[in-house]
Order: sequence, then C-alpha cells, then structure tokens
Amino acid sequence: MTKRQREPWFRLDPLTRKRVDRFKSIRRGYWSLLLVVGLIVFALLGEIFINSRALLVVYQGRVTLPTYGRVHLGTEFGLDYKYETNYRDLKKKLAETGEGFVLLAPVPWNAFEQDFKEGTYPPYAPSLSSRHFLGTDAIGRDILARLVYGFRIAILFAILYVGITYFIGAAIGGLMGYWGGIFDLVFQRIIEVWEQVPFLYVVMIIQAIFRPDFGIFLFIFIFFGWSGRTWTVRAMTYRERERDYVLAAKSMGAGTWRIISVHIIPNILVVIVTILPFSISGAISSLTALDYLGFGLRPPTPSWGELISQGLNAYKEAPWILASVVTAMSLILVMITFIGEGLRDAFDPKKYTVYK
Amino acid sequence: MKIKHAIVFLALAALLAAPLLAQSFYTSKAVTADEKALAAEKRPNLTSPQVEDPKLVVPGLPEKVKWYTSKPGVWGSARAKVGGTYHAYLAEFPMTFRTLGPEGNGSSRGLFLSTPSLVEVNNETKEFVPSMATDWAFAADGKTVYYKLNEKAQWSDGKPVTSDDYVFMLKFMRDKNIQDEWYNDYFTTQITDLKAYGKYCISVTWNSVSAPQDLLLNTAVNPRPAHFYPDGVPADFAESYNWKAEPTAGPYALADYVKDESLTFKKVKNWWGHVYDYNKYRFNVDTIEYKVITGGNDIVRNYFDNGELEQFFQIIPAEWAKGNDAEKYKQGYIDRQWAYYVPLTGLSGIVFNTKDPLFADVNVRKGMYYAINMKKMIDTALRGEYALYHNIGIAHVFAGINFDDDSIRKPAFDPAAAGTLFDKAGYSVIGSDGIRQNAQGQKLSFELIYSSPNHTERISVLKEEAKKAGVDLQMKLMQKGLFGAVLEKKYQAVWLGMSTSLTPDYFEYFHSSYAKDPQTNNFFGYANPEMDKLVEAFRAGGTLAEKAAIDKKIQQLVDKEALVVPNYYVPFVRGASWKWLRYPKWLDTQFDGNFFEPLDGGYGSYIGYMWIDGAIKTEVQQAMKDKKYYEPRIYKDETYKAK
Repeated sequence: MTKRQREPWFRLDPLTRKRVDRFKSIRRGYWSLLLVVGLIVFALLGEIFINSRALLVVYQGRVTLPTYGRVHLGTEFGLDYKYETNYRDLKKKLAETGEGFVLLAPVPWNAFEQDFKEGTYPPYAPSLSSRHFLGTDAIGRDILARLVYGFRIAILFAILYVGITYFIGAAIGGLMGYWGGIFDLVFQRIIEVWEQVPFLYVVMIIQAIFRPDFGIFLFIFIFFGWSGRTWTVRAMTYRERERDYVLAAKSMGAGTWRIISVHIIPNILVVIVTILPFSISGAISSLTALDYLGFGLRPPTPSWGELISQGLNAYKEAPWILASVVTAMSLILVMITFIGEGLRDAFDPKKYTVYK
Repeated sequence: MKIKHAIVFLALAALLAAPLLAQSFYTSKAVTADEKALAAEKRPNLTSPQVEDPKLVVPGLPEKVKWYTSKPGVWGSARAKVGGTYHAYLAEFPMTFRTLGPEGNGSSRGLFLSTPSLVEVNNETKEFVPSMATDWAFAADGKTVYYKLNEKAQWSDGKPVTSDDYVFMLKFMRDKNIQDEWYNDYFTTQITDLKAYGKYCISVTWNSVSAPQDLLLNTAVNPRPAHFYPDGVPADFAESYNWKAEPTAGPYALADYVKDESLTFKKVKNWWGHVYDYNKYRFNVDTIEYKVITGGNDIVRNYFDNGELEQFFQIIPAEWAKGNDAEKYKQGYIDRQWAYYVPLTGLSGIVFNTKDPLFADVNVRKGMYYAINMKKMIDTALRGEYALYHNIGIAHVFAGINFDDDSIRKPAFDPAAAGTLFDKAGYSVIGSDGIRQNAQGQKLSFELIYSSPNHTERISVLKEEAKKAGVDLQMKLMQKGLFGAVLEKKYQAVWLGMSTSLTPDYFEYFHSSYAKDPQTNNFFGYANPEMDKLVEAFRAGGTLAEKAAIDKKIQQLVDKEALVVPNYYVPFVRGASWKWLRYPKWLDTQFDGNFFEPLDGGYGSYIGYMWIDGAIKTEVQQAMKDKKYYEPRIYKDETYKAK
C-alpha cells in the first residue's frame, strides 16, 4: 500500500512558482521585501520594544504585564499618585527597596511624554545614558518612538488606502471593461469628472474645517482617490474578455461576477501587483506632505511630516531630528521602490506569456 | 642642570605663549569709549506728576480755570549722536498714505499718523506729559478740558499749528467725504464739541462726565493741517489724497517713496518738539528707510544678517536661541538687547464655556487650575522664559493707580488636589485608560480649540500632563473660524488672548445680558447677579480709585469662579542690533516694550531714543574686513523683572 502523500494546503501554480523564484533571485528586491516586512512587523509590535510601560513588573510577589492592557495607577505599586505609573522611576525605587524588580522595554519612552531635565532645555541630543537613541524633539519627546509609531500609522494608512481603493477600482474597472456599452460610457464620464477634483486641496479644505481623525481621514482619501485605479483594470479586462477561456467559461454558464473574479482578475493581477508598491510609497509621501503642512492627522499624533517640519525649524541646533526622519523616509521609500522594480522584473510578461 | 634649564625654558615659553593662548578680543576706540560712558550712566527720573501752573493766564475763556502741566525731565541718554540712516522693513507696502477712509487701516498707518497728541501718556508711570499742548485745565461741567497749545508747534512744511487746525480736524472727521463712518461716529457721539479761544487755546468736550484723568486720556486729540485741504474735503477724497502724505507735526516726514518697494522718512529740520526735555537725545537718526520684505521671518533674518536691516526681533525663545550660535553674534559685530517690562495684558489663557455641561460645574473648572500644568509647558516649550500669568489683567496702571489685583495667585500643578475637586463633581472613577469618568460613564474629556500652529507644541505638553489628573484634553487647531465659533458659543474650551485698554471695563465679558446672545464678548456664557452689580457699578462712574477697587473685586470673583486658566505673558522685549546701533543703558521704561521702535508708537512711549554711532560703524565695518572679533555683548535690564 502506498502512503498517501499529504496534499500541500497551498499549492502554487507552476507559472507563479517561476515568478516567485525569479523575484527571489533579484536580491535587491527580495531583501528589501524581507526588510520592509520585518520593519512593519517590528512597528506593529512597537509596544514591546519602544514603550514607557514596562514589559514586566514583579512587586511584592505579584507579577504584572503592563504592556497591553489597562492603565496601572501608581498606587498599585506602592507609589502615592493616582495616575499611570512612571515605570522608569519605579525601577529605581524598587532597586533601592528590594520589593521587586522592573523589566523595561529596550527604549523606555513613548511617543507623547515630555522628558524635561531641570536646568537644560529640549531638544536633547542623542544619548545612550538617557536612552534617547535618536535624541528628542523640541518639547522633549523621544525621536525614535515618534519615528517608529509614525511609521506604523503611515504604513497602515497606506496599505489600507491602497488596498481598499484597488479593490473598489478593480471591481468597477472590471465591470466597465467586461460589460462595456452604456455602463462603461456613463462611468467613464463620472470618473473623468471625479478625477478633475483637485485631490490634495480638497483634503486640506476638509481637514481645515472638520479636523477629522484617522478613520474619517482615510475615508476622505478613499472617497477621492478610488477613481484613478479603474483605468488599468478596465483596459486589461477589455483585452482579456476576448480570450478563449472567457468564452469557454461563458459557454459553461458562468455568471459575470464569477468570470471577473475567478477568471479575469487572476490574470491581470500581475499588473496590479507590480504597481502596488509604487502606490504605497505614493500614499506614504502624500500623508507625510499633508502632515508637514499641518493638514494631516490631529496633533500630537506622531508622524514623519510633523518631524520634518520640526526638524527644518531646528536644523542648526538639533540636526538629529531632520537627519533621523530623512534617513528613515529615504530608506523606506527606496526599499519599496526596489520591491516594485523586483516585482516588475519578476512578472515581466515577455518571459512567460505566449500571445496567440 | 639640564632639568633646571628645561623648567626655566618651559616657564618662559608659557609666559610668552599665554597672551596668545588666552582669548583676546578686539577692541576699537569708539566702541570702548561708548561702552565706558554706558557703564557710568544712571537711569534718569522718568516720572511726570501733574503740577499746577499758576503763572499761565489765557484771556477770553468763559470760566475761571486752574491750569495744570507736568515737568518731565531728560529721558534720553547723553551719549546719543545725531545722524545716520536707520534701515527697517515693512511686510507690505501701504495701500494708501491716508490714515482713514478706504484701506486707511493698514499696518503702516502709524508712520503717517505721526502728529503728536495734545498730551501723551508716560509709559513709566502712566502720568501725562505736555506735547502739542503745554497746559490743560478742567471745566466745571466735568466733561470739557481746556488746552493751551504750544506756540512753537509747527507742521513739517514750516507752517505753525494753531487752534484753526483743531477746529478743522473736527469738521474733517465729521465730513461724509472721508468715507470713514467710525470717525464720523466717534467725533460726533464721543467727542461732542471742540471750540477755539484765540489762536493758541481750545476746549474739547467728551460725551459724559468722567474722572479728570479719564477726560484727559479721551480728549487729547490730534490736529489735522487745515492748509493741506484748502477746499475742504473733496468728494473724491479717497482717490485724490491716496498718495498724498499729510504734513506732520512729528519728527519724521515722508521724503520719498518707490511704490511697492520702499518708504523714506527724513528728520524734520529743527523739529520744534526738542523744546521739551523729554525729547532731548531723541529721534537722533536723520533718515529712516522702510524696505518692503515679503516671505516671512526667515527672509527678514537673512536681510538682517547681511547688514541690510539695523535691528531684528528675537522674542520667541527659539529665535533667541538661534542667536547664541550664529556667527556674527559670536564675532561681536551684532549686539543683543533684552529689557524686562510689565506688558499691558488682558484676558489670556484657557477660557471655559460655562454653558457646556462639563464646565457648568464650578468644581470641574476649579479642578482645571490643578490639572493644567502651565509651568511645565513654559519650561519645556518656551525655555522657561515667559512669565506665568495668574490673573486676567496686568499692568493696568493709570495716573498712578493700579487696577489689577496683583496678589491673585493660581495654584501649582497638583493631580491629587485636582482629583479631590473632580471627585466632588462626580468624576470619581478612574477608567482603564487612566481618564476619569462619572457614574454615567461620561469621560472627563473636552476639546480645546486654538488658532495658531505655533501653539501646537505648547498645548501638547498640557495634554500630556493633564492625563496625570485623569483629564483627556483633545486639541483642535482652527486656523480659520475660531473666533466665529467662540462668538457663537459653540465650543467647550478655547485658547485665547484678548487685547485690553488702560482701565479695563469688564462689562462686555461678564454681564448676564450678553450671556445668551451670540456675537457678544461674554464667551463664557456667564450670568451672575453679583458680577452684574460690579460691572454695572464700574460703568456708573466714580473716581479712578473707586473704579480700580471695583476692577479688583471683579478679578477676584473671576478667580473664585475659575472662568479662565491664565497661561503666560511675555515680560520682555529682546532682539539683536548691529553694533553701531546704540541704546540708553536702561533700554526701556516700566510699561513700554517699544524701545526698538524708531518712529511708530506714541510719544509717551519710549520710542526713538536709539542712535547710530558713525564712528563705531566705520570701525566695525573695518573689523569685519580684517576679521577681528569683538567680545559678544548682551545688554540686559532686569529692573522690572517679575519676582
């Protein structure tokens, strides 16, 4: 009796397998992808590495993990105040009294608190002893914390924005390409008008009047940004719908949605995937530009644009602010560009498609 | 033997090398001479109490009056040198040289409105000094003041100033052709009459009976040159007089201009005003040239660094800090001046809307005194340089009487004390996010609106510190439309500063009749019969001392009711000047803050006492060529620094 080989839960199409291998062979793109994904995961887990809350507190035999969860008031650890414990001070106190110990995060600062040393004024230069590894900004907030948490917000915003707009754009563009006719005509006109709206200005105006938060800000971006995504999908769908396999699916009774989602989209996914990284870097740049101008997310949300604005104001006396954010931004955007280039080369149709 | 030689050799070498190693600053003759004279200078007597002038007799008056005057001494520095050109800047070229009518309310109108008033207010003691008038007298009706004009007063074209010019001024202000209803109204309903008694005496009548000093303040008007309007005010006044600058009785008259680029003012030859001691050593420069510089403060700083401007303001802490490391400052070519004074400040800080459910409870408002950490904000965001404000008014001193209760103090940041008050208000539960809640689950959270992006950093500090008291402060920047929202009373708390007058009238802010209606200054929505009685009593009149006592009571009540959390006031003026621009040693007077101004600011103000030392200018320019460095100088006066 032959042993039944376990079916792999996820089997890649041999064509896709070739593309993935080709992408992996483009070292620049591959390593950029690993690095960017690594940084995103690091940012998502930011509270473990950069946080004013301790990772672990053992006090009078009781173990507390304050990182994720509610605010622990000072009174819970024998301190005399009823607001969130200052774990850095608690560490020093417990070291003296011996009632327990505190394990702090590697960077024991969050993105909002002001560190103020009596007698000198922020911005403070980077220093190992104070654990401000990239220094502080003009009111004493840690730069590394604001950089990482700002990155988290920016990349989440970009991924959500690009993801949702491409989803809407692909759906509508696919329908436009597949159905054609009046539907296509009408929607083309709608989208043409929609695209004439000066996107950034409208976002700035709405921001100035309403001052929305992350969710509504994202909604405004999506509301005005989805129309540009439809063109590519529409053009590719027009091409694909004349293909034999679509005819075959139609003759087997497949409905519109099934043809589009199961047959056409996977074939044009390549094109979408190759422009995705550039769209993401574009979204990060847009958000940073708006934050720099003051029309972005509500202060004191950490953001790169706000850091650039501060850094420019103080570049002579605090060059570390501008240096940190410009380096981080250049690195991230360059790596995303490498990923995009790698994908484009890897999915180069000249190597794998056969035209009939 | 050899070791001894070595030691002697080393000692000799050290002796010879020491002068080279020690920091040696360059000094030059004129600079040293002036610095020596400066060190020996003493602050003059800047007071000017009112005195009787029994010798003055003016015939032809309808009643017998007692003439008063004051005798201010020399206010300027004897080191002053005459001559030179002062280069300043304007953010925009004026739309007109008129000072009223369409577009007549521009930022540079003060340069064209340089004719002095009948009397001026001394910014050291807020007493009066003679100016266009030498003496004044109070009529029996309690509304009219007689003024004896200074017979030496002249317009910049040489014609004398007489009572005709004042009578003309009243006609002028009431003329519809000037197209300025504000003046039409003011000089009909507020200033009700102006009469001439001969060539050099007039009387000015105010609309209501007031204390004598109030009357003087309100009736000390300025004349207009009648001969400049030979046919009266033409129907096309706005157009025909658009680029015609009136002759002035002040020290500088417009000499030249290049449209959209520059204005040049020249000192009036043998200006009559120097007849007064307090105008001695004053208005020393020959020419003041205003260049239009657009683009913001950074561009202006570049012009200053290149020597194209004489002086540059550095009040904001970040600006001042830039000067600590800048090249030309360290090389001593640019000196810096820092003068403390008591700035006239009104309402400033976090204002609460008592109509909002959260802030209707006085315990919540009082708790905010302890929950808002103004001191830490000043320390972190403002380098500890601004002064903590405790009241809704400061420097309201007039005719020697103080209208502010300077003993009012706000408590220090104290989360525990805040907690006790919030408990009383029902916000006793500390939620899982550290923010307080009441029994209904409502959070102790409010939105603070503000209008300047510069303040974002400052308020961020307050937000972070308020968390310690369990308060969630949401920040909302409204660059446009903030004041509209406030007037409509559609807000919870606002970061706000209002201008004020010498004797503050708090009716508009606190009277209950304004509490409900939008478009009033009672932003607080505050209605309290006790307060109503006080503000009504102030308006009813009385002596200055009585009014001052009422104002103090009002301030105490506002303190008790916690309607405002005051923030800060800026207790100094400071900046940088090129080394050849010199100032008196004491820099400024108690309530002034204008000592950097060469022309625009009022003649009781400490403007125009600086001078350009030509010899120093030559020496400094030569030193810059030779790359010789002076010791950097910061001239600081802390006489009026708050204790």
